[in-house]
Amino acid sequence: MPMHWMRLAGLVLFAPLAGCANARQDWLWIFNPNGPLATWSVYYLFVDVVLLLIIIVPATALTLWVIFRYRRGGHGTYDPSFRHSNLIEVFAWGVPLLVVGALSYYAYEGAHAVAPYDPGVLQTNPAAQANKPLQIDVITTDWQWLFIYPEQDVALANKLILPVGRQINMRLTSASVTNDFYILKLVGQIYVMPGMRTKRKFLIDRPGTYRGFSTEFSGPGFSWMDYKVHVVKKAKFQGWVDKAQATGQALSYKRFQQFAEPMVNTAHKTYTFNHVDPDLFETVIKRVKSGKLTHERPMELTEDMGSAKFRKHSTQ
Amino acid sequence: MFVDVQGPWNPWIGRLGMLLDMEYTNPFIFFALVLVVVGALAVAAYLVYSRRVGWLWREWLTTVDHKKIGIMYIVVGLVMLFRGFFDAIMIRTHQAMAAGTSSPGIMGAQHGYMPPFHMDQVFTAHGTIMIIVAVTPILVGLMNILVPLQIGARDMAYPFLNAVGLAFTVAASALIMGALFIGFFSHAGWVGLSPLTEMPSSPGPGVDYWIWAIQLSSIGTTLGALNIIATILKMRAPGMTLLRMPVFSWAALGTNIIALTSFPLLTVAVSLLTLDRYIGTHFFTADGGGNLMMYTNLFWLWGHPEVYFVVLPAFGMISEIIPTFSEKTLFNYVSMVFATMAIAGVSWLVWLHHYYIMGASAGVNTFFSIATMLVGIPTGVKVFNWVFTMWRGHVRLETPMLWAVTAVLLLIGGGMTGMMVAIPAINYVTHNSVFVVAHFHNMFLIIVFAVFGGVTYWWPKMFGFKLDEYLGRWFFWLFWGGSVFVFVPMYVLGFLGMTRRLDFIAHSSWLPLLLFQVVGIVLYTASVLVFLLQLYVSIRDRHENRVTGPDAWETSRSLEWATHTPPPFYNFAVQPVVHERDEWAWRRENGLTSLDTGTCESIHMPKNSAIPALLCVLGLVFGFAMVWRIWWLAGVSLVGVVIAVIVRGCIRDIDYTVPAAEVERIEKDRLTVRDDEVARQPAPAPGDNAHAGRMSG
Repeated sequence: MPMHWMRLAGLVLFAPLAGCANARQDWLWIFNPNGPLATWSVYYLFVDVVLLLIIIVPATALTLWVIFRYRRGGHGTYDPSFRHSNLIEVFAWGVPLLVVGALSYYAYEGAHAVAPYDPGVLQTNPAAQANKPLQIDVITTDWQWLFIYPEQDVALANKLILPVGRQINMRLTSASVTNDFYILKLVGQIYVMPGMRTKRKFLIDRPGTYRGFSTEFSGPGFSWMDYKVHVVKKAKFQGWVDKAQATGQALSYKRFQQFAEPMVNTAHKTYTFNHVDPDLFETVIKRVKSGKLTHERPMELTEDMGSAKFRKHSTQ
Repeated sequence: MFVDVQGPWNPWIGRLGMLLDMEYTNPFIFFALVLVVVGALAVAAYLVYSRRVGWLWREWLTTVDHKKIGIMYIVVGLVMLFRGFFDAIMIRTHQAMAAGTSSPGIMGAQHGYMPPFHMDQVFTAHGTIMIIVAVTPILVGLMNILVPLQIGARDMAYPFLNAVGLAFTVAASALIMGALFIGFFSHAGWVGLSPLTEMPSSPGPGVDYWIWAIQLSSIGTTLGALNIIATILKMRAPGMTLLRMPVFSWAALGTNIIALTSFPLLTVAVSLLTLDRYIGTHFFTADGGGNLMMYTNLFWLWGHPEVYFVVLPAFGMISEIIPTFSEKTLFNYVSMVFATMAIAGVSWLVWLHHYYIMGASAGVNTFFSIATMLVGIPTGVKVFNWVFTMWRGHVRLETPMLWAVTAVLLLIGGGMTGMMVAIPAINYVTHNSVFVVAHFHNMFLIIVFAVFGGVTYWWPKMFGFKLDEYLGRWFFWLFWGGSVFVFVPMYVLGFLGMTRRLDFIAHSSWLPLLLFQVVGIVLYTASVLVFLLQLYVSIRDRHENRVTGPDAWETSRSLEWATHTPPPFYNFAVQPVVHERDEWAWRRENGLTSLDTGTCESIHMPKNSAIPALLCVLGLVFGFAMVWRIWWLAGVSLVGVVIAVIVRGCIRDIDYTVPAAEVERIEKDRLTVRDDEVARQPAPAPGDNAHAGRMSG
């Protein structure tokens, strides 16, 4: 199992920082990946670093030693005729070639293991095989997130609730410009593009609260696009679904258009919806492609964040 | 017209009417305006007072001399580097202020002191300026000065074209500076993220400023690239075979092949975006059949070769500095040349690594990952060859060498983080984090370190005196400290999950690291001040620091040191003949260092021209008119450009001959100055040579 190997390597490499990691669970994500995808990404990071250190530590040491040894007035012998050496040439080309060769293998393996659409690590994962995947449709608007649970007929904005131990299949699109979906320590990134559909599959091992945010700059509301991700046990998830089905507001396409108006979520507001238009995801893609869902942004939206103009476009 | 624009438009002043609604209350912009206006007035007053306006026009603004053009490129680059650095100060201090939901906000911002609209412009301007009009011009300037000298040519293949390239670069810089005061700059990132740059998301003139600045400067760079390639291939001195060429010239060849083939792609990508914004096409929109990823592809198909375009000359400079200060020839020269060209070749195969996360298949990502890592092989070879150049040498840690050696150490670190983000599995979690930002700043620092090393190294060749060594060391150590304090915390922040381009930072736990970065910025600021002081002191004491021989460092190796320091306008009194790879070192070993050539022959030189200066003004006016959609003015200036080019094509009197007697007189003067060092002859006065003033039109 590579996990043990990785933890060991991590312990050795980052031992000086380990104290911090224990003190705050949310610190260096390196020590707390959750679920096979995040874990394998970190595993490849360690493999990569260890392989590179084989070449980088001696190279740095050699450079510093040579500068010291052959400094003018030092003890090194001066020999200007030393200008070529086949042995060193073989070494200089060969060692990087070997390291890059080894890394290429891991690049290949890793690209397949954590591929966003069809990650290899989920194909052999018992938890992923045991349960039916949960479908979630993700739509970004100008600076808000909408997560639709089609089978449950509910939706959640600016907050995400996920069950533990169940594979999650996401479809993603944008109603405005490109964003980038990412949950720290849980799942790697994928573009969220207008008029297009991308996919993300992942699985989470244990409950907790995490941070999701957009990593592709999308305009003035970008910094406020972070949201909480609650990973909960199966029963709790079902409890939340039941509650949402009973209390949320209906989400028709018309209501969505209103939701998609440029809005900076400065107050970190969240919304719960039910009775979600079953075709909403496809409708958004079609409307964006035909140019019927565009919200022209004002020219100087945020010059003064206290102004009435800005308040109209923010949740404060 | 064509596309409906927000805000007022009228046929005479275009969109300029919107300026009436804008509030000019921001103290930073006011400060910058005062700085620019006072600076410009002071320079103008000095020129008038010292009666140097005519001199400036004859000797500099109309010159086609590659050395003067190169110096002007470097001056423009340094000024814009300064501007880009101001933006960096603002980004770092703002982020440190805006960490945590309870962080205070002033001047219209909820957190920190810049609302997103302002902050977004600052980081966009920082990126655009640093790459397009700071680093690129400085490197082009150094290549301009050095390539003809290193290969034994009298000037570039196309001296006039060279001046035109500079003219457009200056116009681009001026346009970006104009955006600071007239309207606003793009807030869509320096890469021009599509469709964020399209009309619905960016209705203001900011993106248009970005578009026309890029267009103007890429014309300049493309023309420059063409010129340097032709110069290297056709103008080498007798005996200067390709495999005797200094590695810096090889780097210049490789880098300009990259530029000539990649910059047109940028022009095309940005032109298509221009059509989207100006006449309502749908190349990169989400609707109307547009494909926004096509823009990303085209941009990075230029953007990644551009990375190697800027890094190769830096490698070339390191390859010149290390042998000089190790008193030993470059180790494994042929291998080094091959590595340079290999990097240039591979640069074309890697662009997709900027967006592994777009949803491409694992196969596609693997291909680009391996291609990217291949770059590591020739780069590793270079590091080894530099180290073995110092091996069994006499290493002198004078300032140029300090910069160069540190650049090598930075390359080891930057190479490591580059190999990390090159792997898709890792990239999925580090993409767009500040870890990536720290990585590419680490790589750009290599260039900056090499540039400061190169400027210190070749400064005496350009001006005839050395820079102050003591202050140079202070500058180096402060700059090094700033780099450590800014970018080591940035790497760590990347691992914590901090995204780039944030205006507001939700997590106050990052504050200590952000404050470390502010300490770094303070050190950087101190280093910049010391650099300015170093320039002042060095120029003040130029007579004491005067270089007496042709070779300022006494152990230099290549051909540019085999002429006077600074070189006369014709570079070499007689055409040099090259015998060896390290020609100047060979001459030194064989006692052939005398510059006394005896009888001289007449020299054929290009005449000055006022047309490049005119093109600069017309280009700037055209860019400005297009930004504000003042169609008549754009039309007039464009017609002006076409007419100016046609007029130049009709001028036949573009060159002249310096008579042999005149060359002999100048040579004798130069040699006497050398002998009379004790008498402290003043530096060559402006207008020393009458020929530079000859105009062709």
